[in-house]
Amino acid sequence: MRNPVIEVRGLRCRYGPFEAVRGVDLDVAQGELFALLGTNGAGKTTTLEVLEGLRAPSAGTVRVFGLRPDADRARIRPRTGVLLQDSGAGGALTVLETLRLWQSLISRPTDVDAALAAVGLDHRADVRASALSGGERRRLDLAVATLGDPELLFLDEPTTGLDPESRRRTWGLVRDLVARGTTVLLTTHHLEEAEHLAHRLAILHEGQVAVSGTLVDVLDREASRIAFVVPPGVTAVDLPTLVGTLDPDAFAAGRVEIRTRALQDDLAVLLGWAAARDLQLARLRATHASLTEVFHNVQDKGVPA
Amino acid sequence: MNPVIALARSEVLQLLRNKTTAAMALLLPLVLGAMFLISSDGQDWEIALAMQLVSAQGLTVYISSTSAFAARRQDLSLKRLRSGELSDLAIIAGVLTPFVVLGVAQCVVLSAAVLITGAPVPGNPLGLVVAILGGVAVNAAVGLLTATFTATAEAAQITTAPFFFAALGGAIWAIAGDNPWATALPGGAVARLAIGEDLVRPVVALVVWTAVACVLGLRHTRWDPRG
Repeated sequence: MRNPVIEVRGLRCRYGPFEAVRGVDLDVAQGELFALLGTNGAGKTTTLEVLEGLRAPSAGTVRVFGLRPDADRARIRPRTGVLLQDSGAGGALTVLETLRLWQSLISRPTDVDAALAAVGLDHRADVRASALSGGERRRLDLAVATLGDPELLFLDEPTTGLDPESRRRTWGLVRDLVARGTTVLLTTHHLEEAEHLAHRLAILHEGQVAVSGTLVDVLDREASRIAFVVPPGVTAVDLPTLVGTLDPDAFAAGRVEIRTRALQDDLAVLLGWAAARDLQLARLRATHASLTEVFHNVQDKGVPA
Repeated sequence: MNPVIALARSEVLQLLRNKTTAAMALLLPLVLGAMFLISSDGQDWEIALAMQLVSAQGLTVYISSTSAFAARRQDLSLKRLRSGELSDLAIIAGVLTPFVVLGVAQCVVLSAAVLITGAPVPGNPLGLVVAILGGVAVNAAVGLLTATFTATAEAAQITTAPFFFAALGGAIWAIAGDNPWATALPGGAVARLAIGEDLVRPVVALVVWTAVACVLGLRHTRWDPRG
């Protein structure tokens, strides 16, 4: 990989007898936005905390900027910004005091007012952090994480608890950072977040990478879908021979549903077959697999051997 | 602004904005000090001074710093700070500094009050200075250690009780007579220094207590409430 900022090989992490991360490999290139997806307990936050230097790995090799996060914190931290999964913003401090405190704690501080404006909290500067809503507190965390204009930004579920408008604003902020060359590693439950933002992604399942690659790579692993209402008088045996497979349960319920890895070829055959018989394929849909389907398949089938 | 000072300043702000913690750290030691002074009735100056120092150090430095560490860990502030550029030692120093400074200030005020109300100047002023500085140091170090096994700020009310009362008991025991076991206790050592009876043995006791508590506290410091 060109200019890797993060390199992870065979990462394992234990909490007593429980192994939360079981052999994760991943690389993140400079300027890339990489999304880690997975259910609760999949190992996303633990992986992130190892990369942030908050937790030592049980086994494996982890490098951030070519350095060990647990041993070279002093050299890595000035170049990174961290948004933890849970807020640690001082409850009794105001929004402005919190940002000014963090401005004093970093070696390359940027403008506090600009950070507040970027997350839409400029009108709440004098409000105590404890009085903010969950979404506002999340935005304050984001302002703190981005305050030093970091080269590498770790975002652990950055939009959890945000309303749609705040989420859209956060996505815009992250896109701007990436456009300026910031490398971002984010975890999220929101699949559309990964679809909108990520250059590459990985789905973790029970501490292992089940699927990884670009969105196209990941979606290509799953079959596409052709669906339409069963035309009157048509039985399953009347349908043409296709590369894909017919779902018999859906057919019994009145819908033709075909899962195929040859979407264009099968669609052409079906349209030719319908035209030859002068059939209307009501509510015809031809779609690629969605990230949601890939995600659910990983949960159902586990990590490929 | 220096990062440790900035962090300490934020701790002071948070301390002042929490009425219960502020009263515990700011007023209670002074009220107790006044009570010791009044109950001495113009005599037993040494007892009043020793008890004032031990109680102020215990309440302001030991209990308050333990509570602050537990609270900051519980609200994830420590973990958040650790994800930033500050070293572990700088974070600990930032959290402890307000209580150390406040503890020293209270001890100075209380000592001055004793002298102003008629107590003779200590025969060994160095002992009093060491009693203040050494006592504050040992209470801060043991506060750090106690915080390692204190899950919440509320739990600190229980976990700090044994050391706090042992310090008060040690002080009473040490004032009653020159018992080496009493001097070996932190409260006893502070009391012996405050009354100017001894210098070497109490200093050794305070240094050993502080060093052991620092080593254990730093080794077992927990930053994350999980687990």
